[in-house]
Amino acid sequence: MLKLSPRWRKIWADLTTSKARTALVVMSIVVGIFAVGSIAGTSAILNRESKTLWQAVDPASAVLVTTVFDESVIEQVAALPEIDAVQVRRSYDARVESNPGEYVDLRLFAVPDYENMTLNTINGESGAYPPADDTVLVERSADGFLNTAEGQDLTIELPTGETVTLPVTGIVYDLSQPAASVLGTGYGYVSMATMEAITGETGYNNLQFRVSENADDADYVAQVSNTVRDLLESQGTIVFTVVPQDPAEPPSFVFILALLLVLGVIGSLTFILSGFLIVNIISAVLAQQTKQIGIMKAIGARTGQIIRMYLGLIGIFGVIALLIGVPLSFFGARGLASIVGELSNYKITNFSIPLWVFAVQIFIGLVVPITAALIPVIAGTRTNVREALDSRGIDSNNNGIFDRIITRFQGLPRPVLLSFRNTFRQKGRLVLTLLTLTLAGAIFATVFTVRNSLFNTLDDALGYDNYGVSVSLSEAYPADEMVALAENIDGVERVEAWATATGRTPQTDTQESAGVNLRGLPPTSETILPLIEAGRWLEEGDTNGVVVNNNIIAAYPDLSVGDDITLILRGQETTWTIVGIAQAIFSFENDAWTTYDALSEIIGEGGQSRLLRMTTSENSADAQNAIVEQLSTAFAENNFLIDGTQTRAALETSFDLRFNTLVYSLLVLAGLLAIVGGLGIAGTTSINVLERMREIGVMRSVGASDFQVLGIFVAEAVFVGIIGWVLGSLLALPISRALSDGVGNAFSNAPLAYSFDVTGAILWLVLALFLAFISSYLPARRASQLTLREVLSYEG
Amino acid sequence: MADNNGALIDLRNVQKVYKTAAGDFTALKGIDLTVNRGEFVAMIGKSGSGKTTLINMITGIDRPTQGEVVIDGTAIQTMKEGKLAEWRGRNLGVIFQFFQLLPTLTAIENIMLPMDFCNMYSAKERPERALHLLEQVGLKDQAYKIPSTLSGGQQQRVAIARSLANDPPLLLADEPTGNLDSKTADSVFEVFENFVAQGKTIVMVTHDNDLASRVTRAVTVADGSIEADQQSDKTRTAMETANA
Repeated sequence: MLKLSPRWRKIWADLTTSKARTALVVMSIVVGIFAVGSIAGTSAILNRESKTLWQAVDPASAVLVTTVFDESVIEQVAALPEIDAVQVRRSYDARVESNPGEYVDLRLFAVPDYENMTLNTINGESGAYPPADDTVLVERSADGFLNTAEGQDLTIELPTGETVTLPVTGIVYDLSQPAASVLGTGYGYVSMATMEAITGETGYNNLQFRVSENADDADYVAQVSNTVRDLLESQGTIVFTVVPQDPAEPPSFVFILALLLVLGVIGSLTFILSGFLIVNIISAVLAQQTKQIGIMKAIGARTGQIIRMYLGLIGIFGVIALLIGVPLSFFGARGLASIVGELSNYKITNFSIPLWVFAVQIFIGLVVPITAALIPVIAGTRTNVREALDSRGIDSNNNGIFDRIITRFQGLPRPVLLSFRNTFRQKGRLVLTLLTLTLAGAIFATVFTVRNSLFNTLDDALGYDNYGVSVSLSEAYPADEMVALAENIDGVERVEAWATATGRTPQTDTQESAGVNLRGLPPTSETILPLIEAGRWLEEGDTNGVVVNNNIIAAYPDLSVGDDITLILRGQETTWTIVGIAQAIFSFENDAWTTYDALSEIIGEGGQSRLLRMTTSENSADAQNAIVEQLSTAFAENNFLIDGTQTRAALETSFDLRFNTLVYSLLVLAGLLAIVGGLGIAGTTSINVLERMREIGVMRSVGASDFQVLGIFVAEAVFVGIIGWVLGSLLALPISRALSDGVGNAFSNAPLAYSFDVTGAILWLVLALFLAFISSYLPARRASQLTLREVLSYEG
Repeated sequence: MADNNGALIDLRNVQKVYKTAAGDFTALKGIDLTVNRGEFVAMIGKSGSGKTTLINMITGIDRPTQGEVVIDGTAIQTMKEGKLAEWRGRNLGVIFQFFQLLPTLTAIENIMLPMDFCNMYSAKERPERALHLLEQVGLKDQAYKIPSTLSGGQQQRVAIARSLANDPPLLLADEPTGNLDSKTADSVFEVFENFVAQGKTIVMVTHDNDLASRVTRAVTVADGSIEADQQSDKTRTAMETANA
């Protein structure tokens, strides 16, 4: 060991004799550094990488999904002065039997020149690139989802019922697509020639462009999008949807936006919490040094020297904590960021953490503890020598009004009174402990409540897809025939034929047009459970009534129930009366619903349908997959081409996947907080016990058994735990409400369906009581095992 | 009190060796000491003489390295800590130099605490008994005050009342007046004399020769051995009163 001068050796010995206490101090700082560093680091990595990765693929300003167009259209669009670059793709939806009897959607893409893409570029990851004819490349997030791999064959089932088998010759990275498992769609990439062979037609159905200027101006991009759309439609191409792309973030950023919000809020609260914890523990440990300070002053130490000694030592603790906490947080951030990154299909290679995160960690590791130490050390140096040395007996400076009130509580057994009154003895420490516990409890309950509200909202969201199986068709076919075929299948209960059309609101001088998905359904539909915010749901005989979702209201704030809304459907202006407003959940799409009769007539598809939704007697994935299988066969035999199928089971899985990362991250955060809060209780309680060694001796000298001594301290800790729990649960109400609203708004134009999670609060209570029990039991038991002589001569 | 004729305190060849970094240190070198009921014993000695170690042997606060400590017929050196604490609560009253009252309890609550711990007396009797003890030390009117509002002498008298809470036959006091001025010390001493008159046995560590001259027996400890053991006339008188 280093040769230290006596005074340093003394202080080192003072603060390290109790290894448990030293470990507690360093641990508290480490936990703070780790928690804040991991959260802030994850946030920083994801924010930076989403921008960097997105920039690298030359993002388009908007994507138009259309009917098939040819080369001439591309040239015309490229010739527009507002357009800087154009990129086209051909996409085709099919499916793959990923496991026996289990089908997943596959979207096949073809690009004219893979090696010279201008926008939303695709890059080869491994194997062949670009795809040779009659081969397929798979997106990096989709190989597992499709249950295939480079070197294997991919058997693709086309809507016609035919199958095509292509060898998988490589893996590509296409950041424009969210992770396959999240959206429930795998992605394959083929040459134009292969695409033509599969579809039997030439041309493209996906047009991407970048504006020459004002790329950051969403309104301008929308305006240019309309110009492009008008141009395409003037050429006879129908534009289904226009999807604007954020120039700064990839489309899948929306999936982690809520998580980043949660990380930001919880991270800041954890920062404050760690501060409380560290201040609490350091000031408690140093409060015990008052006498030592008195002795040093008595033998000639100057105040400045004493302050330097203590702060120096705390600084060393801080440095040790930083050396442990910073690398840990690096791994924490790296781990969390890569898990979340996979969800967004981010191929993160740069996990470096920005300097500001380290600055925050140094603040927590050095500035907070040293500042916390200053207060008790200065107070100690202010005590005069006699006072400091005189504090040999039991401390007894309880003369405040509060103490007198507390003394009024009488008539309880003395051991209970002791626990109760001792709780309020070190008021400063109690306040700090309660702040720590309250905040930890509040965040813990908040985390569980956000999770609960998320699940609630998911249930609400799934209400809009309350079917067992849904089938969308490539074109409109006779509804009766399809319904009859479907009803013939075992397990199918009720079949509904829906009419669908994409329309848009008219463009005015002040407002760009907005795309609207309009669906016509039986008013008595059982496959949709909408959340009506205002007005009513559809009724029989609503020939002109429409229910719109609140995304439409967000775009047109002046609209309300009873107003008329104009929609352009198949190039024709139609006017509807809003009868109700439904809540959009986890969606920014503009959706509207009317009766089947009304819509099918207007779009000229009377008696026909493009969408069947049916309820099934069983809700298992196997049962629903079996129905899909039989439907596919029956429909193919009748030449009804299926565009896509969806089962409720698969939809639930996909929803789960989409929110699991958020949910699990929330649970990880809850765990971290449990550690921080737990250390808070453990620290204060064990220091309370150490500080009252002499009192333990006195109690035993007047006949207290070990069990009774234990009981007194445990009761005190439990009492503090309960107060902290009550306050924490109360504080959790506003915090969790605000965070639920924030998370909801990150996913859609509505807050989450808030519901306070009592489980979280109860779990925290159990945890807090357990920790209070353990952290008082262990030191109190050790104390009760010391001989009375040792306890009475204990110098804390 | 199984054997009225037996000694209350019986130390047989009690040795205490402390292991220190500088080697073994023998604090007590085979002490034999008997104290009978009704005696008021002063244990006198310089700092480091072993007198506090000796009294710690009697209270069971510390354990002998060798020898036997028999208090009222019970060999306490073999008892476990927890059992010993309970035994101590019923059989011994301990008084410390620094009073050691629990700061969050009032005077009367401090006195009731040993009764709670040892489950002595009924819940209804406890406050009555505590008040009675406070009356005996002249502090009935201070019963509901917390220790920090009492003077040193008052605190020590509350501590004495507390030591008598469970009516133990033996009181042990370690420098009970060491932290008090001489006038206050005198009043505390009078309280002790009263209790001796009532039949209690008191062993008191002191370095105050004036006080030592007022007890019935003075045991002088030096260098870990008993150097002198003087009985005054008062001893017989006190003992006769106690055994009457």
